[in-house]
Amino acid sequence: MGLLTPLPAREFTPSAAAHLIWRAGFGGTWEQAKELAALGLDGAVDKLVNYAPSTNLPAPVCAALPEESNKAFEERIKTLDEDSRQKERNIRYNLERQRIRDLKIWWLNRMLASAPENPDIPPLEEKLTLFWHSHFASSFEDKIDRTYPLWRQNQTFRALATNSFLDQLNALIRDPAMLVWLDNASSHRGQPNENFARELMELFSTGVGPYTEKDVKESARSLTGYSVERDDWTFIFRENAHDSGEKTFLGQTGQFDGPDILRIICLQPATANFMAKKFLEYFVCTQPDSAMVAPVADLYRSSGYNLKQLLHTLFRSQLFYSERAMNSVVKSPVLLAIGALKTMRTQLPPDELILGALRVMGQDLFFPPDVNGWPGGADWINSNTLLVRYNFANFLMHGVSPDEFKTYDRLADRNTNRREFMETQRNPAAINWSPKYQLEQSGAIRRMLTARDIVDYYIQQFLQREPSRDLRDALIQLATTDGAGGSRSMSVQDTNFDERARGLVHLIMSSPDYQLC
Amino acid sequence: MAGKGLPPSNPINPMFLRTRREFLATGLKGAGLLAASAFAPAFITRTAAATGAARDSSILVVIQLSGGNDGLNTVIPFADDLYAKARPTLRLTGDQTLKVNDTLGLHSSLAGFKNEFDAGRMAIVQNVGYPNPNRSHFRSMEIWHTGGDDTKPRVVEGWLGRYFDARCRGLDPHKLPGEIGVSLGKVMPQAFRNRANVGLALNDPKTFQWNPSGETSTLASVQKRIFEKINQPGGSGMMSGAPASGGITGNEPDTMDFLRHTAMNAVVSGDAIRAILKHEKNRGKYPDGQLASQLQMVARLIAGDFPTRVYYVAQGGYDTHADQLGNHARLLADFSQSTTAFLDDLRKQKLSDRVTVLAFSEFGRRVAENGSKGTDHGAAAPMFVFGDTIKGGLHGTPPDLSDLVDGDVKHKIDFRQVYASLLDGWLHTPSKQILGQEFPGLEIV
Repeated sequence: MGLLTPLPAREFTPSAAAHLIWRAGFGGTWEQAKELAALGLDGAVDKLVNYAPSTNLPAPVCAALPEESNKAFEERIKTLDEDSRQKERNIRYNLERQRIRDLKIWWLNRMLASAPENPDIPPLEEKLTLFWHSHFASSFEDKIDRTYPLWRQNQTFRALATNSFLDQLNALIRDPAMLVWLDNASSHRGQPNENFARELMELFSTGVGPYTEKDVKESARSLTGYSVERDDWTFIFRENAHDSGEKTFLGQTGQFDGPDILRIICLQPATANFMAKKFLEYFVCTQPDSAMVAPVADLYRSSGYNLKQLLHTLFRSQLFYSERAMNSVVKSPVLLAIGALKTMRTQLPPDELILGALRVMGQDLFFPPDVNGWPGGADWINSNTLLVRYNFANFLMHGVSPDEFKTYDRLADRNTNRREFMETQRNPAAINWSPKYQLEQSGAIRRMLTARDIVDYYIQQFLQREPSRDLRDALIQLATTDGAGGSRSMSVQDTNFDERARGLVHLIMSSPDYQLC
Repeated sequence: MAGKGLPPSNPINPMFLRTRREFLATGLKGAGLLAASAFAPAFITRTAAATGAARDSSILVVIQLSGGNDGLNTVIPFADDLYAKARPTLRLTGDQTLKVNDTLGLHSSLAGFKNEFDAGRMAIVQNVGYPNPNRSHFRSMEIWHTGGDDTKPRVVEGWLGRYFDARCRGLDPHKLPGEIGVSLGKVMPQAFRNRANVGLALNDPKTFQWNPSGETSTLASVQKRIFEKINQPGGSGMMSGAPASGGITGNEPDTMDFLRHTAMNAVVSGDAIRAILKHEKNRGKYPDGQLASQLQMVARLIAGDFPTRVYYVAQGGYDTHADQLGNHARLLADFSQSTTAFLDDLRKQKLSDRVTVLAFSEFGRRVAENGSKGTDHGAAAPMFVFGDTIKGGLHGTPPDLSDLVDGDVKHKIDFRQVYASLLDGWLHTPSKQILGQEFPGLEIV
């Protein structure tokens, strides 16, 4: 248990607390980190982990089912000519597109409002909901095309975020969005569809390895009949489509149905290992080795797949605060954006801009790239995405939004009013945003006497830890060079202090250091 | 990487001269700020020096058909009763195909490809796969990208990444220092992964620049200089303060360096790419859609002598577990129309003799359809090679549906034989060193 022994209480500094809140939530201010540190390690972890689940969250307006059922809609357009039919379909589709955008905003606002001191929106709950969204990934695109089932799925992930893994899997095989996304809704006996059965093991539970192609086929048979009533998007078990015959799955034989398959999956050591590795990658460090995975998997399995207990142990562990873990994980685009906004104590930017920014940074909520979710880690970073992250910082500091945030999303390709949309995007009045971050709101800044003090202040506010030496040196160089290229130290009395300070923060956020937490 | 200056000069084709001269000027000017900077990492100055040098080298464009393309409904064995029996709702009859002989026909969406085939500019390599077929998208894709298989220790570097490494070591007589692979799309394919970490994922060239915020141009240029300093590859990633708890070694400096490297790579190539796109135009009409727009960009980068020999594009959607018929027809139409528009464009620009196109998918699909009017994951499938100088036609034998492995088509040709043929015959790099062993080549290039 060496790696999982608790950190000595005195080492739980404000920087350690900041590390905790970035990992267990979406970051925050330096002041929040100090408050968390004052609770002590156990107090802080208790506060974050032992939250009351939001089981009965009211649905946002955008999550309603279409007022007109599919059947009624098809009936109504039946008599129209093909052009008018297509027009009607586009109207219907566009309404759903608007709704899914609203749902993204709804969720982002929830993440932004989450805080250790806010019992209504526990940060870990939203962080876990995001984890499950990527782990059990379903996309709006192609098959689902409706907001309501994705809201339901999102709420299931939230309500069951720390339930046992078996509970979660049982919810999954009855989740309408997932059943449609992986084609199980149409899978029936005689000719089962293997899509869901395969991913259920490969990506959702055991990982590649412990099963054979035969096991895939047998579990696909067991999952036949787990279907969806498409008109109201409810789960339905179609008895007559279900194959009730005998199956042999992972060495066991019986007339298995879905829950039987899940029970057997949870008996596999591979399942705890696979999930332990995923939890470690998400919460602790990249590429955890088997020495790290083994004790975490043991704990997960021996506790009956109790995630709350596991995270309680992990967040207090030496491992979590080790050099291997601290500042080692690339922030996801959502974490980068929400974390920065929290530090700035400001609101979400206009819908299209924040959604556009997240999309080009590579994380479009409810549109994971495929059933494997977002790969995360270093995969967030490539030549497309990195400078967008840096220019997003410029946008946060100055309200200057790069053109690429204003491009229509890819769904628009089959959309008739793309041109209309582009017109609104060309109208600058529609996209204005003044960042609300008040640089001088803090009395502390008044006490900053030297350029070095100013640099350290903003590093503390935004990075909340020691920077790499290169970064501090470079920032001091910036703070001691004046706008005309001469050498003059920055001072809070400067008339252009605001501009220079924003430039400084922009550069902190344009550093490799800021991409990691 | 040893690269010093330009590679051995080749006879200059006057057609490229204008472009090349302009490119050298704009390209170097674009990279000037960095190249002249004291902080410019060596690879950046090399990229700047190599700019325009790709002029008459051969180019490979890889098209990935993601999701597992149904080979049997792409090159259709319409005369085979076993095919008809296995596909009660999905089968296409001989009349519904574009026949290439008495037993095989191309899907009717592939009219453009049929022209290429008839002109001898399209090779269909049949029954391509690998031993112990893996039906996971992710593992199978990894196998295709790395050129490994489940009979050997796992490799993480990509086959094209190793090709770039080999070129850096000087195996290729036409070596171009500072060369990078370019993937059009949102993510970097694993095929590009290598030790030198070179490679560009290019979705929108607008995103390839860092915008300073300073109101005065002097302040902006100071900020830009500081940005370069902060993001200088090879800089120290070590923390200046002590970590909270020790005992476990950190991996953070590697990630820091990867981030810096990526940032600088994007800044420098962004300048060069925007300079090219400013004056290179496509010829002819392309269809709408992502694949077409990716290929349009590739054609312009080739015309503008962007220094790479390998481009990577992808078309998704082939995971047709349900309602396959219409969806597959649309996918193939897009594939065929986009690719032939690209080949036509190159022909009009007299660049086509320099380009070979390779199209693959991670696996084919199950011979028997499922109950959702779709098909599940399968094994071997045809691969396609296009180009004016290739040896077109049918390669290998038609699929034998009476001899299956777990209901799937058995492979007769290893995909690495195709890679080997292209590495040896087209990219002039000994395939054995890239693929780790000798694979018998095919007569395709």
